[in-house]
Amino acid sequence: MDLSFERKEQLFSYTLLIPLFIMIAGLAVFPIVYALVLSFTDRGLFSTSTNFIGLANYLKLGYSQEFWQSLLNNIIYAVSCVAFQITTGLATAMLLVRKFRGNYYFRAMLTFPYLVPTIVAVLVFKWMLNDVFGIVNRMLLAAGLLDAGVGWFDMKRAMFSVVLVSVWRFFPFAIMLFVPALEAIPQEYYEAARVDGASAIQQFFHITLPQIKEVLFVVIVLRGIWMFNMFDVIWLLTGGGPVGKTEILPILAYLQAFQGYSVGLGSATATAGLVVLVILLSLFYRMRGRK
Amino acid sequence: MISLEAQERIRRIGTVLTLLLPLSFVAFPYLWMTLSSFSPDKDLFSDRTIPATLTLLHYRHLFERTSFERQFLNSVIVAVVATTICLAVSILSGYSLSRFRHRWSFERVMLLIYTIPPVLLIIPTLLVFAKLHLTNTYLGLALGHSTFMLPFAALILAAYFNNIPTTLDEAAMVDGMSRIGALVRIVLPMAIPGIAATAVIIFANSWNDYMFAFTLIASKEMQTLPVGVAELSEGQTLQWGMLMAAAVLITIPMLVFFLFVQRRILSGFIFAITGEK
Repeated sequence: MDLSFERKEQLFSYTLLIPLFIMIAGLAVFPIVYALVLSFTDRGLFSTSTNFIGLANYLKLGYSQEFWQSLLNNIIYAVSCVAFQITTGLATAMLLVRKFRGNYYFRAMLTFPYLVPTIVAVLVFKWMLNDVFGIVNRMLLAAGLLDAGVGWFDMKRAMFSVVLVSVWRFFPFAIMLFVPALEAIPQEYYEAARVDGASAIQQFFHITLPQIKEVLFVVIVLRGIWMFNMFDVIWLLTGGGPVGKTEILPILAYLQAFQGYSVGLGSATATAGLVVLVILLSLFYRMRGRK
Repeated sequence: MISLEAQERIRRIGTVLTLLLPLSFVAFPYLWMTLSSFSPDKDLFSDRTIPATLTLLHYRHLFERTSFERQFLNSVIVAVVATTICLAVSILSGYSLSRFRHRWSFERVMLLIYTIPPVLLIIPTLLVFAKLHLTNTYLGLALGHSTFMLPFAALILAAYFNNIPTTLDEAAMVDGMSRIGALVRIVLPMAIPGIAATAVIIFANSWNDYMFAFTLIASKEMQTLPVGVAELSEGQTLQWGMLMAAAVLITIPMLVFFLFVQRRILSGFIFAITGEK
């Protein structure tokens, strides 16, 4: 059989993609389908018997206070993380695109943390926020801002502290995306605006923001997804505690599956989390479409 | 009236001074971690802020009392295997995505995969890997780390290949080279900086992972660094000096890599994930 050149090329292009598709199918698609199936079963971690129990896991979640609390925590955590990461990231990026000596080193130092493992961030902040020996309490005491050291991971402050660590760990990502976006804005726009007497705030809202809209959207979506699905920062900092104050859905799912040995229930929680995330994302896409 | 030049200068100084704020927010924890790792216990656990003397004792304890070296080695092996797998697969697919027109957008595939909560993946992955005897193995963990990195690497590499003119492959093919020959001999050598930057990202991602390693590895000998060190940080009385020493040593390889590829990373390679070129 004689294949035309185009046909051959097309076949070749698909052949190159086969390994990728096999890997994605095996590592992502199949596990997702499997998890979905598991969520309708009473599968335990070590048991071999699996029974279909229909929607029982989901009903159980619907009636569980812990699930709704975790969902609420999850939204609070993700929204505040994204908000702070974007504001600090954008503000820093806007300074970084100005011309000054040493600019390059500032960029390097401010983006490096994105490569540093979460465990490092967690250990350092646990140490700095230690209630007795931590530098933060000591400095606040010395400055007279506190009368006694506070527990940064207690009921009142644990959520604040996990958000703080998450912002520190991940806001360089926003810088990395905002800097090239800001640099792509033609300087003439600003010059023209200045000639017209536009203030810095007006320039920001009428030039900068519209010009980086696309990238801003990408940053919000990606960071939103990652913060909503976050596991290790919270797991390592608080384990979801104290008494569930920082428990978000991924933590709850993990606890159910691997400490409660109920793989079915854990899968149901994780699936419910994915459904909520997809709903939130599509709402966000629609909001953007309307603008 | 100040001259324009002076105004510009003041503006620059103002910019740098303002930047010191985010910089200290970012850098202070690193400085504090490094200082603490060299501070003797009596200074760490007292009111003294700056230690009177410095010591290497915490580093010695880390090597004598824990399996730090073994965990370090495990982490390196897993990261190298993951990087190799991801690069091999994504060089092929990146080339295909860059050189041929496809009907679907791969960006969308990647975004879909990114949306999956890792915790949703880990439950079935553990069950399947246990059946396939892939738990407690380097390969299994490296495969786990590849899940989110593969589509990312394929897209980034496609973006790099896009910058290499197709006329080069065509010329090579006119000279009698096959497509594969053109890829290996012409395109790959030109894409090496991009491939190196991608490799660093994959390596760092694997080096960073806690959840897959914590779940898929049960045996002590196979533990990776983040899991092993996290275990040291459990309990009531903690060796903070030793923990800070561990944190410093986990950070150093990333610092070295970063110095190698920073220009690539900073020059907007990230645009590949945003789907822009």
